[in-house]
Amino acid sequence: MSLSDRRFSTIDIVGVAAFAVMLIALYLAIVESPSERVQGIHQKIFYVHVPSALVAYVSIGVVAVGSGMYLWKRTHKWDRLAIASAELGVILTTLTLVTGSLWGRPVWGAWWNWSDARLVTTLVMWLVYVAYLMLRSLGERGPATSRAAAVLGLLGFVNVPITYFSVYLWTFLHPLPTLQSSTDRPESAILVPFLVGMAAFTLLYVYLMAMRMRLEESQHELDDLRAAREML
Amino acid sequence: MTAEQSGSSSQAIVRCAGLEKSYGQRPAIRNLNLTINVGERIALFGDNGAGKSTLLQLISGLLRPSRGGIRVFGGQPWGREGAHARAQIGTLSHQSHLYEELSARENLTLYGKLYGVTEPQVRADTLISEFGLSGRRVDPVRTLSRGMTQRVSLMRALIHHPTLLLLDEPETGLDATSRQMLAEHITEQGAGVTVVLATHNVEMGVSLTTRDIVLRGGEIIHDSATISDLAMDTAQRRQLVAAHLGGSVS
Amino acid sequence: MQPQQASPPGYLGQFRILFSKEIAVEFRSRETAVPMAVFAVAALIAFQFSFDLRGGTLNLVAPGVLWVAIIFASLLALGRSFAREVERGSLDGLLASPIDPGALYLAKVAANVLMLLVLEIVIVPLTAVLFNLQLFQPALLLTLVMGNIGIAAVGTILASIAARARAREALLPIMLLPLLVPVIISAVRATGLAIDERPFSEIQPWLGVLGAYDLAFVTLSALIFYVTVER
Repeated sequence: MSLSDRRFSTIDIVGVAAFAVMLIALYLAIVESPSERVQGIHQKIFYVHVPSALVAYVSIGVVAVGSGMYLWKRTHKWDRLAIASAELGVILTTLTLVTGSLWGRPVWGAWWNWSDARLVTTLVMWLVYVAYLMLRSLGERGPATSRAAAVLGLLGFVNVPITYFSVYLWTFLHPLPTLQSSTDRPESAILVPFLVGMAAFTLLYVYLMAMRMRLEESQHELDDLRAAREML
Repeated sequence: MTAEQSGSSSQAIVRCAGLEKSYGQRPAIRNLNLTINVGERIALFGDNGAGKSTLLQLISGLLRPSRGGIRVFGGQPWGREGAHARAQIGTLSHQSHLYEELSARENLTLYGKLYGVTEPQVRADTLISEFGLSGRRVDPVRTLSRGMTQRVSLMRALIHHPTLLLLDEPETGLDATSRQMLAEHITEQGAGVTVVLATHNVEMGVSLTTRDIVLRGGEIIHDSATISDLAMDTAQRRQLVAAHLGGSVS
Repeated sequence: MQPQQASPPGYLGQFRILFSKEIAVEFRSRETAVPMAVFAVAALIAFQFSFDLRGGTLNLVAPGVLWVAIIFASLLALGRSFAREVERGSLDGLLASPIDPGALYLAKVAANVLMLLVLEIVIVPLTAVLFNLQLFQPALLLTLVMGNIGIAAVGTILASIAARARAREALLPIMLLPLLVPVIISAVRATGLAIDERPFSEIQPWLGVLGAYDLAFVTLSALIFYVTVER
């Protein structure tokens, strides 16, 4: 497709929707949602933290699906899915860690809490997928690097529940002082802004995935053209 | 055997159709079609980078094709499913494939076992004395000379009586005696043994084989089997090969 | 004249042959076990002065010190196990033979487990003597073996990835350490409980985590290992 061909595609519509829903989500979270009794205004970061965390976990699952399917089918589109989702996964886990830390400061009285299994698991996951991106960037573009990355994508995915369980067991058997947040069961006033936030992050993920995969496809075509020119 | 095998005109043991292999973005073998029949002895010529080693490694199952098909002994040679085909192939390459810390005898016994030779150690000793290395059979391969190591590599290729022998520039690093032994081994293989020999030495290649193939840029540019049914003498074959090789220089 | 076609060994047979090959090569070269043990001893001494391993906090810190020394030393063994084969081309010889790469993976894992056990035979008594600890508990032996399997299972497949990559010395620990977090947590906990001579029922959950980890990664890796050696 040429650059002058500027009709609206499905991707553009998703992008506009993501932007609009994100604005609504921010409005609902900041203005409409009630202030939590114990934590006050600090609790509002929940509307960013939890959706970004959930979508981050989904993106890691998508990396595993892309990796497994690539090893099975060996078609480039599955590799594109994995690489795009890994990059977004790293960005979303970074956001999760930062917002979690910001939330923890007033609530726990510390930026970081090693006894929170979800937070620690997210940190480990972040490290695994940073390693994944390093493996990709250090390797030559091509099937060998894609295969190696796919293997790491699968190993990293299997690692997530075991890490979560071992950190959980660690805190369960070896408790550290924690303050339980009272947002585990959101009431409807909290639920609506939360769900809109979820929708916003999901749309944003889908939009960025589509853009990133298109970029990867163009890169692939460019590589092919360069190789073809070298042959002449 | 399989339908595919019986369906072919004669007994084809290697069939490549539209075979392609690239490393990263760089193609090494391009759209290659080739059939090798039982008992043929083929010399594979071409400049460095023409794709000789890649083609041999594709046949031996070491490489997985990027595109197209390759069947060896009726099946795919690479991956887990390729074990049946690989069991009947002997390979000699630039690398010795040997463990330097182990002796010639231990290396050969290891491979004898992996290929399922019935009495691996006896077979190893037989080969070692045949190739005149009995005196050094328990020394670590690290201490052997280049020529001796190459001889052990050749024994490794022969340990399981392969019916398809793939030799990648076997003459490099060999002294005159070893070259002679190699030549005898290639020509004295039984009628059922197929040999593919990649070499830079046109003289040697033509004298040891019955069919010539010249590769350039990953494609076959000359195959003596397709030219005519008339038997050519070695001088004519040499001339043709040299002409095609020369053409690739200019 | 030609003997009939030999039949190559099955999966288990291949595993046995390749495992004895690993042991024979290592026994001849001693390229891995000896540097590993020396490194681990040096690390223990460094820890002694970094943490002042005396008195009340010793039982809390010692399990961690022991496992960090083991895991860092294992990086030496794991890196070598494939780099050596790739550099010399011996890996190609094996892959061109009629083996299932999965059997090669399991043989390397078993060899690495054994190598780590040899290392531990040196440094565990040394830790006990140097820091005056009660380390000779049956539960500890079980923890060591299960921890070794976890380290070797993930380390071996990642080493085969790293062996063909640029900057492989950096890449292997970057990929391996986060994946080993469950092993570190449960092995350190189990070791601590064993030192404190707690009942086995308290150690059991941690051995359960180690067992699940070992089973998951050995199985998955044996199935997909062939991908990492494919070319």
